[in-house]
Amino acid sequence: MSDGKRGKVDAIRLTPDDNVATVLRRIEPGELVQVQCGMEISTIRAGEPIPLCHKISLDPLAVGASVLKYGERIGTASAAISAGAHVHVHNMQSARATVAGAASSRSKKSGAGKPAGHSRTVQN
Amino acid sequence: MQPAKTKTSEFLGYRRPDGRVGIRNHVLVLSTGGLTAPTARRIGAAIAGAVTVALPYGVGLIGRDQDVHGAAMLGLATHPNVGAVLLIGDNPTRMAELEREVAAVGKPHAAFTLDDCGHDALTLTDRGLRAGARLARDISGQRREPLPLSSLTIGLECGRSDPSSGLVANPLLGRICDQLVDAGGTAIIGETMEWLGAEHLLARRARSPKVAEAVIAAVMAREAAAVAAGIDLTGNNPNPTNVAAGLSSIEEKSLGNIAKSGQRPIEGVIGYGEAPPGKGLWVMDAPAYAPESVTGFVTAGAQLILFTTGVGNSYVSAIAPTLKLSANPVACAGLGQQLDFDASAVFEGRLQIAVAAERLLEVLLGIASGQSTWGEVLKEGDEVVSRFGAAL
Repeated sequence: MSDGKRGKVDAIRLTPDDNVATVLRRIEPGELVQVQCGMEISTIRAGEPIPLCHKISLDPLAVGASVLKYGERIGTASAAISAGAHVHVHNMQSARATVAGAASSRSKKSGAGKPAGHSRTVQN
Repeated sequence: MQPAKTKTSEFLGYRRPDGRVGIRNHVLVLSTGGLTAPTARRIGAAIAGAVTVALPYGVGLIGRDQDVHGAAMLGLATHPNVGAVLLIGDNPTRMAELEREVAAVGKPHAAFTLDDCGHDALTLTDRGLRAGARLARDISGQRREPLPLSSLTIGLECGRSDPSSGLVANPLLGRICDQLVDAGGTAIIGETMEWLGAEHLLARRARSPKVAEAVIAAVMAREAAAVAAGIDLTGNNPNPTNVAAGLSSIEEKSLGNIAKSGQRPIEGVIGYGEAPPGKGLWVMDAPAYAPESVTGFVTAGAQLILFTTGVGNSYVSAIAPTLKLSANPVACAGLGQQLDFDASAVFEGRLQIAVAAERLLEVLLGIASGQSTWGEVLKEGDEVVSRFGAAL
């Protein structure tokens, strides 16, 4: 992709509390990434390819550590993550969405019932 | 003669007898049930500029479905963007009721049922077309006049989001939302499932503890419905399109999503398709799928929809002009006949978001004043009313 018109910034860190930044173009391994946070620029070296709009880790994260974006937790590390790594569904998971388990125990506490049903076909 | 330019925060619109303001002067052909949908489409196709909406369900709806559908039909028939409505249906009792309510707000109209026409669809087509043509000609003389931003209700939607939505496009909408509310207008966001993981931030902005509780309860009920249905939220939301584009969790998607609601207090939680009881910012407890979500805003009275996308989304409302925008440079380069506003310069660091917001407001006021959106020109619009339960 041509980047003749692009500014010096390669990635955005939304708040100083964030430990990931979102890249504004595809990043190749070994590149020094210019990360903007408000008026400040910092740098991090990419350890692997980061696709457009995906996340790069700004700090090393242990398994279970919170991934922070918008100043809030967006999930937890499901594998050890080094600084400069690609952060996505392969090494982080939602802290909120589960098939059953935590979500259903939350719903039992709130007393929320089953939704109005619709019939499903039953076949022999 | 209409003035060519408007002052900032003014647009040119149509005053309606009920005091509301429209930004279009549609002839709406509305089929109130599925039986007469094909006839309504035949009539609509024969009238220049007509908008046809055919609700596919009818007799047999019970409980919440009956209430929501009835309110939606009335909301569409009396919508301020509709200059006149031709009602086509199969239920004389319901039609008489609807006609009374439409007449009560002073909306020019005509109504026919299959029963009026010897149960013959071609006779219905003939009578409906003659009446519809007369309505179209009668309202064609109506002219626009200057009206304030405060007379707008805007629905805010996102679809096929990617991280650029949360970084740029939705925050842009948030600035417009704040300006609209500050000017005395009304804004609505919906898509309850997409507050999940960020609902505490919305609750914090609630006007009262009761409203805060209602926001949390709405999210928990929807989450419970997903769990009860055995849905794996990690697979469905973010969906595969969102994940390929870079969104890793529902929380990440939701935090980016709620950015479009700006910073102003949340006045309350309204039900699907319900009109907000007052001005300001409201959250609608509603499904996330765009066709249902957008129609929920329209039947609630929204005259215009602001709709962000990441990778691209062609859907618009049939009745409310829908301004499509993206900040994704690839999408903006490739979707020249879909996007009404290109925010990629902000994404690329070439334009300040505050300047982009000024330009977006200008484009919005132009569309309110009569400039067509791509979706209108290409007839990408439809209306879909949500269902909640079984029918008889």
